[in-house]
Amino acid sequence: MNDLAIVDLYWERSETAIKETEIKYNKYLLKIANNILANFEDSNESVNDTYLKTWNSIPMNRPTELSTYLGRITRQTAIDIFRKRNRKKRKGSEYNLSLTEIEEYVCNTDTPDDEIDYKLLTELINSYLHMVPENSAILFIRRYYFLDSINEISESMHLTKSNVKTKLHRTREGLKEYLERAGFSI
Amino acid sequence: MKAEKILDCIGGIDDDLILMADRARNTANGQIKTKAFRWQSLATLTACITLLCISFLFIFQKEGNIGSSWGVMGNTPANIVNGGQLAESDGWVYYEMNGLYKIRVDGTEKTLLDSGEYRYRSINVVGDWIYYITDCIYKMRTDGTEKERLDINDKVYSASVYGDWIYLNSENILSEVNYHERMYKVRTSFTDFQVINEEKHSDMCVYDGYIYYISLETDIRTLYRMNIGSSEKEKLSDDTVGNIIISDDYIYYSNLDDDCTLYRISLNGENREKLDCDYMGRPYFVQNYPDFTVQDDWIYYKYWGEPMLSPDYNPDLSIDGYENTKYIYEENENTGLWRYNVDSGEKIRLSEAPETFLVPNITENYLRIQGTYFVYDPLYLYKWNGSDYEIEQQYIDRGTALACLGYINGTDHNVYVSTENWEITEDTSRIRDMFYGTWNIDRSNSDKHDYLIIDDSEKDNLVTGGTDGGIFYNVKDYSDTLVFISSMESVGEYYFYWTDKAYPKFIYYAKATLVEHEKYGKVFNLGKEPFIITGSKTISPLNEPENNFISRRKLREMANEYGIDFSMLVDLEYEGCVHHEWSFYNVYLVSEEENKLIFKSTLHSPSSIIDVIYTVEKIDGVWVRTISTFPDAIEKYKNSSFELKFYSHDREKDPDVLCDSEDCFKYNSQMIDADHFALQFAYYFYEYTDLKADDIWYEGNKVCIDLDKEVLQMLDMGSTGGRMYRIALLLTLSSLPDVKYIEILIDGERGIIGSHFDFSQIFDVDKMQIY
Repeated sequence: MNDLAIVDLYWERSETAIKETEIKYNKYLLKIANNILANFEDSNESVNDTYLKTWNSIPMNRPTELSTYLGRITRQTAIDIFRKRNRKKRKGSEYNLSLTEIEEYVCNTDTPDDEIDYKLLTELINSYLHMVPENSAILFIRRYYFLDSINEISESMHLTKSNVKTKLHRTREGLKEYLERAGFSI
Repeated sequence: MKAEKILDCIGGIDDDLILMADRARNTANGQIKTKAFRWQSLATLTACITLLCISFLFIFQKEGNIGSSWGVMGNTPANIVNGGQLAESDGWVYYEMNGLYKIRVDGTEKTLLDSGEYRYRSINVVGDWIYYITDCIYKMRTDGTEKERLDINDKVYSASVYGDWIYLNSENILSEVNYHERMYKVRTSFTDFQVINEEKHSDMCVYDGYIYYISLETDIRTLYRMNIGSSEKEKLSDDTVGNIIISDDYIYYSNLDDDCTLYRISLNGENREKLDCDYMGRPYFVQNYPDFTVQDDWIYYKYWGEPMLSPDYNPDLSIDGYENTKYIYEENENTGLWRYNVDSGEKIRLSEAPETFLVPNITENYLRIQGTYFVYDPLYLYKWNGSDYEIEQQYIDRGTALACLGYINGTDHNVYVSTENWEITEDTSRIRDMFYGTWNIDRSNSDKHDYLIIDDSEKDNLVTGGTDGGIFYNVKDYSDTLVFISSMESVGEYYFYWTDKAYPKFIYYAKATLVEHEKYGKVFNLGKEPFIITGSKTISPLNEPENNFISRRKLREMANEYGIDFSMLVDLEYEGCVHHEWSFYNVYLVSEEENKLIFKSTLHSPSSIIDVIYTVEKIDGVWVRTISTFPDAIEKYKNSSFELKFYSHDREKDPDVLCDSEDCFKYNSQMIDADHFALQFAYYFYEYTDLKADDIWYEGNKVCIDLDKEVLQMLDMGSTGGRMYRIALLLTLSSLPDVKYIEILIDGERGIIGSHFDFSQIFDVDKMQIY
């Protein structure tokens, strides 16, 4: 079933919507969740939460790209679960590893949340990713949005692991510089 | 700010970016989704929102970059421009080695996927599909099934899979240099074929939304890139560019305006930088393929040697090529495969580079190298062992191997080799130089690695001596070839091993028979399609001999050095036990003085082993040899004697030996010297029987011997001679290590009772009485 038809089902409040979503996107969402949680049961839980959240949110929205709509929810749900539970237990979590990679580029100070314009930060990241070479953007998004492992990325993109790491390093450096030029100190 | 917040913000990036990356993920994993990115719907959505309107404009500006390609590549641009004959994907390495193979990254499960075509190239692997070129473009599953071909009017030269499209260029078969007249694209489904550029060019490769190439529209080789989406072209450098390699967002190129030195620039042509490595581009080669590659900021190249201005170079001619070569190179100890780190400036010498010109293809774990122009140039696949490259597989054309021998292609289609005018050589340094080493023997269709080791340890006895009495030859008219021929006369087979200076890292082996041909005379016949095994020299160091072991090659060197007849060192004989050059061979140096050499060796007959010490001493200017037994083997019988009881006519009762009655016989008794008879028997057996090694075996502490009936007749004689042979046999067997009992079988049968001797008994060595 195509995405528009599935969205229509949500709007019609048909429970088939969830079943069709599961058929089409369960594997995709589980992968995102498991990259973050490195635990099958927790990942399943976050994907099930995604279906519920989608059920509750779609009548208000009509997503044009259902996959990204679902993926965002799963990603955030899984991150929420990750934060609630002990981070140290998440051995193998790509989210955990990604955090470590990002931490090298930020001053880990507890700036009060209300002093940071997250919307602007997101927009700047968006602009930056549109500026950099396509492959660099893909690598960055695969690593820090989809939380794909370095191994997976290197194998599927015919790059060596160190090549992937180098490219990510450069993109992160570039992002930091770009944000700083925009007056955003991270 | 916390890293978590950054990742949260990344969670809010635009749909188009997520879709782009997602598409790359799924295509790469072989799960191409049917849903397509719809620019129109995004446009509709974004047009409504002010903030996103800006993004919309931005995205459309960038549409050319993204197009519908999504960035997934079938191979690296560096490999594609170098022929694309190695690719790594999902734990497997795909490569060409006179066939299309795959092998796991760890070197196991070598699998031939396709063969019979000429040089598989432009290998691209995406998900579970392989795309490649031979005479045209093919695709098939990574398991070798569902092969499909696409014919187009032009011959295809190279192919780069990038997203859903394959970017191709035409092969110009009339040109000696690498230039092409057209670029095309076709979907990976082999539909929607389109011409996208009709510009003479070389070195086409696709990377990050652009096609990079060297334009040959003018006399100056100029670097350009063309936007895949908009087809807009952009000149990137004013330099005359030899070849290009794209890696890690840089374009590396040999600059023909600066003696082929390596430079690099950013993908947009900025940040031009001269690189300080010893790379020596050779213009007459580089116009076809780059002779370097780049991986992870490391440049891999061959250092050819000390450059010298060619005496024939004419600076007034602009051509720097075959007709007017500027530099020639003299090999030195640094000649070999090097890698140079662009960031740190570190230079490391790797294994010895193959002698041929380099066309390197590289992945994280493997390196493949081949020659360029010549069909018959050898191919090598190296595997990274953590610190260096080791040969994993190699291939050389059979014709190339045979050509070194100056073979005759018979009218009956057999391949003949005549050694009539060959010259026997004892040139030790040449033999050591060309034959010594650890050779990796090609087993193309198996994971197994065999090694032929030729060194002074003689751990592998095939070539330098061992039990063979082979001879080294220089081949007439092919002065670069050195051949070693050994034989097994009993089965009429001859074994040829040869190497050639043109490809000194290869050794070849073939079997032959010696025939008398009516037209060619006495020649070796290698058969209709000679089966030639090739080995290639590895970087393993030579084994050092242990316990003062002296190889036969070393003995030859000593003979030459001291002016001793070589046969004096190897042809030994002591009371029936012999040691010929072609027979058992095991020599250790005991001491070495100017006029006196002492060796220890072992003499064999099929049923006896005797250790001997032999001394070669210069007396009155003449080398004289003396041999004495080394007492280990027969120590326990030394100075002892046995009582020989034998059954014979009682001469007192029957002086004329006429009586057959048992009454006319009696037991006689005689003392026998054990040492003497053991040796005598060994000699007898050695000379008159064809006893083989597997005719004697152990069953626990019992040794068994299986004799022919003919031998039985000798042993079963009632005469003193027969009895002596029996004693000698038993004493010899009892001198074998750890023997407690002896059993004699005749033609495989146990329990045989002879006319004069009971062979069926099990002899207790400690209580043995023989009669």
